[in-house]
Amino acid sequence: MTYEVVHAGARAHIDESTLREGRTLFVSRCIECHTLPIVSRYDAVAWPWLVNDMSARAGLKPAERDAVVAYILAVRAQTNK
Amino acid sequence: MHSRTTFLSLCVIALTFSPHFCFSGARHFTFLYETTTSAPGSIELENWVTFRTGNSHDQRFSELDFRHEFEFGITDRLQLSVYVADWRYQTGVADRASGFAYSASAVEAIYNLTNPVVDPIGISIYQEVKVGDRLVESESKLIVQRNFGPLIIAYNATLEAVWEGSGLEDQEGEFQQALGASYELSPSFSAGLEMLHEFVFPKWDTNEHRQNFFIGPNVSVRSGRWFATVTALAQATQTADEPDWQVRTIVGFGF
Repeated sequence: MTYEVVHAGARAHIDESTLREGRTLFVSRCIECHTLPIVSRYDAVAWPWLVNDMSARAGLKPAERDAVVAYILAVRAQTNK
Repeated sequence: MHSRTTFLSLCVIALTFSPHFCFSGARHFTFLYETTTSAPGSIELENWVTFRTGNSHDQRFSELDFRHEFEFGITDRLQLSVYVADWRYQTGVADRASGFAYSASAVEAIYNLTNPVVDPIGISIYQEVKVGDRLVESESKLIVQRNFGPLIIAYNATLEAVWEGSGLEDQEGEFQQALGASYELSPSFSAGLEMLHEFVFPKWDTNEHRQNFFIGPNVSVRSGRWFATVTALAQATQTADEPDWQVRTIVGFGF
């Protein structure tokens, strides 16, 4: 977890432990079905919708789903700077 | 105005990506396993059909094997499966009557050790125990995988021991290596290649063995809670009594 990602999360009031949980879930649950996309592939509006759509199949509880979205958006925000 | 734009954007995304983005735990290969395990609490039904055909004792044989597997995600790393009933339809197979026959039932466990994305290499271990009509079988696997962006490379090393006959007096062993590559052309479609190298030991206590090598393409499609993956393998060696061709299809449904 880079400083830039943690900083991007902090700007959205997301703490580091949530970002770490989101990362762990992103790299383990999502690859059960598909390879990991580049986070800049979709915009900040699309990501929450996409993750929510797949969350039931990935066995993500609402808080876990939100952590995945928070991590993706934090990485995306610092990637797009 | 802004909300209308957002709504339209979501509609476009929904129409464009909806079929691609709600997959069941999809398989990219049929003759190989991947290191990933099912999500805790998930249940999936996978139906397998394998068609094999070849020549044995100057006679053409054909076999259709069916398998119905229930897959349960237990923890983040452990997955258990039950093969309710393996059964087959065959014609021209030496020492076997033509027609339908029950083959076996089995249980299987896969435990994931490392992740194929964040760790240098993904590793899982696999154990299956099969019991059938005058048949007991044990299958152990080492599953290795590495993801390179949209490319998945997987390798399986399998050790199989079979006891057959009324007193389980016939013993056969097999060591198998399988290598596969699958490239995700879109989130809903992958294509690649699978290779299978088998060393069959008809009897454990002699040095007698035969080798078979199979190679062929695979394709996988995923949508919603289902996936379908097909692999067609041709025998590159000229081993008698082994299939010239085998085609396997796995169709999975997530609950």
